[in-house]
Amino acid sequence: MKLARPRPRPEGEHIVPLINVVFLLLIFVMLAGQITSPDPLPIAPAKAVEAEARPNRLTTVSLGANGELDIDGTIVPKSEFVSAVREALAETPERSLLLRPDRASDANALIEVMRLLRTADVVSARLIVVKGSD
Amino acid sequence: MPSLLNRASPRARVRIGLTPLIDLVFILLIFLMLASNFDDRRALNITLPEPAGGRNEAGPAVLTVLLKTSGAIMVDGAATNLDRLTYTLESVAIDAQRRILVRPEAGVAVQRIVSVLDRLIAAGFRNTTLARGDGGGK
Repeated sequence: MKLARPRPRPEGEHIVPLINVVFLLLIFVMLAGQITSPDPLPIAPAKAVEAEARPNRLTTVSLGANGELDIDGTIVPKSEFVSAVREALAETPERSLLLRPDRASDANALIEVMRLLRTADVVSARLIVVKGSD
Repeated sequence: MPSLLNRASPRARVRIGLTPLIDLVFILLIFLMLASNFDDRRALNITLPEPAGGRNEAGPAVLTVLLKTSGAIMVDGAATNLDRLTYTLESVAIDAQRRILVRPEAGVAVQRIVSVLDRLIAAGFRNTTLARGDGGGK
């Protein structure tokens, strides 16, 4: 059996599969990733298995490993925390927010933050975790 | 400059170079890979503690899970550990609606209460509240 000799490829065609792959990678990264602004506090969320999908676009309160407080990327001293939470929630109709404590932060500090949130008329909160077993 | 003149001629403009396009796409790709966050972030539903003067935290129907600084877990005074927690709770609290109070002692890390909450949710206990533990004062 005589195979037909492949036609000589026009110059530049060999680069098209490369572009296809790069485009696919680009689309994958765009869909799978989430562009976030860098946080002032480095937070490593706790790991949990039984967690639900994360709701988007809610005011986020972060608690750093050393007890620093951060509301939507701005570090807030504890004395001004309640008024800052009220201010942040005044812009949105929701009375709920997301709590993002570092996994190494003190549990009682987190509970104290929750108590302060109650003082600031927050109705419900959710804990941000990453999927994984501890 | 004969080469520049050649490039400017109409015949040379017929073919659009792919290289600048690939450059751009590569740069976009690298930007997105660096700026993206691939963490699988999720949320745990929690109940905020009652404000002071609200519902009494230590009622008779409330089951207390105390997390000791040493790593031990006490369920209503009986010692257990994280792996046996579900079993211990199921033997104590038959009713999944029963209110459970998780009290971490001073110095307990957030990961430990999240692990306990995780197991409580997995076991079907939804009525869980966090409260400050003894000796947790600042």
